[in-house]
Amino acid sequence: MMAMSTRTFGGLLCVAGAMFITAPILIASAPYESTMGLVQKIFYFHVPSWIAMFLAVFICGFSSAVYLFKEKPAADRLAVAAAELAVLFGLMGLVTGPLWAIKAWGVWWQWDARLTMALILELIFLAYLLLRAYGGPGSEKLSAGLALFGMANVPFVYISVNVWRTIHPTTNVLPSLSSSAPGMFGPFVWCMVAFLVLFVVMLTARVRLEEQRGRLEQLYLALER
Amino acid sequence: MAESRRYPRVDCGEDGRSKKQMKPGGLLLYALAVLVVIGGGMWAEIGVTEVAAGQPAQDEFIPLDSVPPEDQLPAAPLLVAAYSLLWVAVLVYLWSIWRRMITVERDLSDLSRRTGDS
Repeated sequence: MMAMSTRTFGGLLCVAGAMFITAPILIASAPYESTMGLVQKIFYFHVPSWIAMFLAVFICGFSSAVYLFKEKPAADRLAVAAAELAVLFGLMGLVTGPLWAIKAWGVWWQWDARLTMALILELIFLAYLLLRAYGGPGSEKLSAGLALFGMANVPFVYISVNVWRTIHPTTNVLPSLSSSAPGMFGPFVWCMVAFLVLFVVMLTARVRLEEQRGRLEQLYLALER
Repeated sequence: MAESRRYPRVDCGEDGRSKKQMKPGGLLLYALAVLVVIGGGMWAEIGVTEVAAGQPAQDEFIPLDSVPPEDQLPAAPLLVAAYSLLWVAVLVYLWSIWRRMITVERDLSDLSRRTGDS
């Protein structure tokens, strides 16, 4: 994936752009949810944002484990790229969620288990990036350890709505969407694919940046010797 | 990495780290913004709880369409805001990658030129 050609990268970027531009048409044609009405349509980018964030967290966590145990620089580059995407997609989820909540629940935010744990997950990966930026030499290993804890938090975020009493809907909504609301399923899958294509494009670009930084670093070290 | 990481730029500080890297950047501003929002949210929550404490308890769910029109929020601006903010976040991030890539490429070419001169 990381050795993607410029043409493939450009093609994927165009596909992601086209999918995001056409998404509102599909979303507008999807049926209205009976109790929430129009605002429920935020669902089509709120849920994919969090799924993309979880994907980024898992990539970061597994890459960090590889880096910690095998010391492979490529794994570290992938981890830092994925951590940035985790923060970005988490931010999207944290912004779109309250915009939906103020209409559906009457409050912007609720300190319940799901929302609070999701916020903590975002803060963990923000801490990861701050550690990388300002931690100095050796921060790669510390941040890799932090990423493992961040990854361990994901299952708790996911099941929190089923275990604790919370205002947020449970995890049953998504698996049964194709049967309970077939008209919503198509636009949702469209948006989900758009987010995943965008995710691949961004991850590829970000890893490429990290590779170039690594090259630069090696050149400096060679020059100093 | 086996060797301690030093972001190699032409203008390095005494500790070998880039001066540019040491500047408080967008990341730090984002972290501060998140903390401010969290603090504000908690403060607002306390305020809401205090206000709610003085009102009689509501013991049933009120359907949205039975709420008076003046108390209803329009959904369209919220939907448009969500979609717009998402676009802005994506475009700003892609722009930031592009900008950082240009800086690194420039440093690489500077270094190649210096290596060629020496």
